[in-house]
Amino acid sequence: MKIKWDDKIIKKFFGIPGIIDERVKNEIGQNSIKTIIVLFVFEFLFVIGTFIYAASGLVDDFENFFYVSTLIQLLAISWIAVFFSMIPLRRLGLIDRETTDKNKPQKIKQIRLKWLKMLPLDFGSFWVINSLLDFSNRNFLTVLLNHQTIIEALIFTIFFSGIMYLWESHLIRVVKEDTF
Amino acid sequence: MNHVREYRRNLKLSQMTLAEKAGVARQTINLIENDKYNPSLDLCLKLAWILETDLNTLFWRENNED
Repeated sequence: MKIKWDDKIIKKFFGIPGIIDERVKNEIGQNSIKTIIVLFVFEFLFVIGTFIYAASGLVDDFENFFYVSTLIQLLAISWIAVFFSMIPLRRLGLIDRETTDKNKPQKIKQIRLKWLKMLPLDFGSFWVINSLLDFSNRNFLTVLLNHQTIIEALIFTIFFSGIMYLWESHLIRVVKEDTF
Repeated sequence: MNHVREYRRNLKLSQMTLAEKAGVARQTINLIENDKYNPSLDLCLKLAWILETDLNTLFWRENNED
């Protein structure tokens, strides 16, 4: 069955391994509405709060004020998204990787292979992004071929792939054989 | 209680096979069988067709039934 492009986006964004059917869309919709409401309330109050504080004359260092407020926003938005969207989906079992007891080792092997195959792509992506985000006025190629940049990308790739492998293995849920 | 599980077992289909045929997730079939999810009319019709029966037989509930 051909998967629609919007379903593909939902699958990738929420990390749902199975079919995006009417129930899955329903659950995602309900949780997304809650997330949007909380995000809106937070953003609204936060922006009003920071505006009043900035205009009050109590701020001496606007640069630090900017860094702190954006950091708070970043952390709060991430927390709201995880707490109101990802955790409920996890509780509903929508992001579980279902398998039978017999096929569990094979499933783990599949996940390991997937992340091993992704290694070059992860490494390349992080290597290039890390080099692009270097603001030290050095030439792009100089930064790209710098051994420190390569080592940093390598360390990130190993950690990232390892964590993702462990996370996906943790999501495996064994279901009874007769249900298959 | 609906009769999806009974008809599925009669046809010797697993939840996974039925889910694949209906184009839904296995968990959705499991929830329908346990009366924890109300499927859309479209899905009900699809299930009835796959399970070689009709809507009434598959989903009809007597008044005194839970």
